[in-house]
Amino acid sequence: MEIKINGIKKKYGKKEVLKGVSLSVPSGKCVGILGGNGCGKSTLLSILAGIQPADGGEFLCNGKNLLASSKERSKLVGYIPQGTPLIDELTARDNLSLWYTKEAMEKELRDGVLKMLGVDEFLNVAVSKMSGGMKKRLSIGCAVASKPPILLLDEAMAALDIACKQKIFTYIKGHVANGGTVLLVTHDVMELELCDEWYIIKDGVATPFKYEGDTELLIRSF
Amino acid sequence: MKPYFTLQCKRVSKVFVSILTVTLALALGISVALVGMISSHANSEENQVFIIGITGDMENEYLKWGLAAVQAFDDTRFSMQFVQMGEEEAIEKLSNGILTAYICLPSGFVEGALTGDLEPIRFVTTPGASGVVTMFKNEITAAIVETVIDTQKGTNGIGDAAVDQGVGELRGDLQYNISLKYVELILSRGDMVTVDILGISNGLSLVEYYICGFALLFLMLMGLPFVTIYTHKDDSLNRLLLSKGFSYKKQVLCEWAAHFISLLCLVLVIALLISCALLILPENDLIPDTKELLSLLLYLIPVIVMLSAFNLMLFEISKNVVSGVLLHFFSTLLLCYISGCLYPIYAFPEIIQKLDYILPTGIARANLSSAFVGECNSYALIGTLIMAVLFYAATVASRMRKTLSNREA
Repeated sequence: MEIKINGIKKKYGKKEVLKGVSLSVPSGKCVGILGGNGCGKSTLLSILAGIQPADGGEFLCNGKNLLASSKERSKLVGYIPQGTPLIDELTARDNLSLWYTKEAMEKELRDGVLKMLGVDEFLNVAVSKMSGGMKKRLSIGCAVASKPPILLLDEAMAALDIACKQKIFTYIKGHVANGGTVLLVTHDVMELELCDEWYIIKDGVATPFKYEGDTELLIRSF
Repeated sequence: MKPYFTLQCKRVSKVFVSILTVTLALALGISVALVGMISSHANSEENQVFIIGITGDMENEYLKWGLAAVQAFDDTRFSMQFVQMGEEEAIEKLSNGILTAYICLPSGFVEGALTGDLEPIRFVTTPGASGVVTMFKNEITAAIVETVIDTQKGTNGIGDAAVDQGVGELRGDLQYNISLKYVELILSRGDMVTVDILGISNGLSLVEYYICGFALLFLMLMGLPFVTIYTHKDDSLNRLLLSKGFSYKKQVLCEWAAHFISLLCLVLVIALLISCALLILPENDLIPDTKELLSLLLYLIPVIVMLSAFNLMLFEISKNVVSGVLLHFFSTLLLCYISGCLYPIYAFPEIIQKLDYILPTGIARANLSSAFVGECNSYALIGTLIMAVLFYAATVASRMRKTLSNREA
């Protein structure tokens, strides 16, 4: 599902963080968003997810501006935040019940995304007793419950071990292969290699960047 | 909305037992403090028994009637006890503090009073007691002198009138009857006055006032164990819910409802335990009965609605558990102190008493007072609900502000 982001603006007080960010993500592609700390990467994603309002611009999908339609947006967009959107006192199953119906959960645990992420292995474990990797896999499982075609990942794999990352990479690759769109904010080199295209946000605007493994060049571009 | 509310309730239920344990410990501590306050109040009344020694010539019957009249004076607030003894014993007991004062009646006092040859009554006390005892001295002197002299006048007068009217043979009977009448009047002097104790606040007695105050303190402190649940270290879940169209208003409403139910459950458990305790304890005027307790429970509901919103607001603005605990604890103590939960509010300056009308604790205490007065205080009820809505709005606003200020990970 192709998306177009046109002229997104955002101001905090007098400080203009985003001065008109524009980029497009073709269907079936994973785009990496990079930039220095405080450049507005997370702000962009939170605007696209509907958490914060934009001061201007459009978020187009199939010709519709998703910024103006929260109902459409919540159906089409899956947002995976940096933290763990889970309730610590409850088990994985309880947390999943917030996002899945009973039947849908069973189906996904059997042979769907929850099975792929390995959530079935710790279904009855309380979140407070889970490792970071388990929490993150569960978080992703919760965020994609409505099978959104557009995924926004805001440093979702930070501080995860390689084995855990591989599971999530497998999921993302599968999502992209099925025509889904992924917008990935990251600082991680492994995650950069997962992406098909890259943009750097600097001085409030997004500039395309060709990443070919040269991290020195990447750093200089910030 | 229902799944989120259900999960919030489930979340609290996982830690309910530990919260209940903490709450029971808190209830025990506050009950002990309350019983201590009430006992101290009862003891302070007992301390106001003034023991006054009587020395000297006590043989005259009229003198005894006079002292009985004084002892019946103002028995609702003070208590006087006259004890006959020798002067040496009186001096020793006065020095030891057993007696507040002693009176020394000169011999032939009554006869001297009747003939106008009045020798003064000696009233001996200590410097510390002189203030109150001066009042007694005047009363005792007046009662003895006036009662004795006036009744004697009346008794002798009716005898003389009988002789003047030529019915001198009836003199004895008439004097006897009038003497009895005087005795009846003097001894029932206490019945001539009824005392209404209006209470110290909203028509409550001191004991009822303290029960309301401590109940409110307990209700507020009951929210403290929930700090670990409602202080948000990570707002990712809130953000994810928002991205799915589940607004902050709905999120906070679900959390508020779950917290209210949990507080209500705790209160019901405590009420059940108190009811069981009341069945075992001996009857006491100072302890409310089961009916009063149930009435109090009903008036607690709007207060719990408000306090649950208040708790959520405090926890929302706290950054972590430690700051949440400190903020909640000190806010509770400060508000309860200013609103007179720990000390009768009439002792505070007028401006503080007026401020209390708009404080959440003041409004809550007025609500609880209704249970004892037996009348619903509409102002307090509406005020409580308005406060609840304001706290809810503040919680939502705080959550929105956090999201907007969370710019970059």
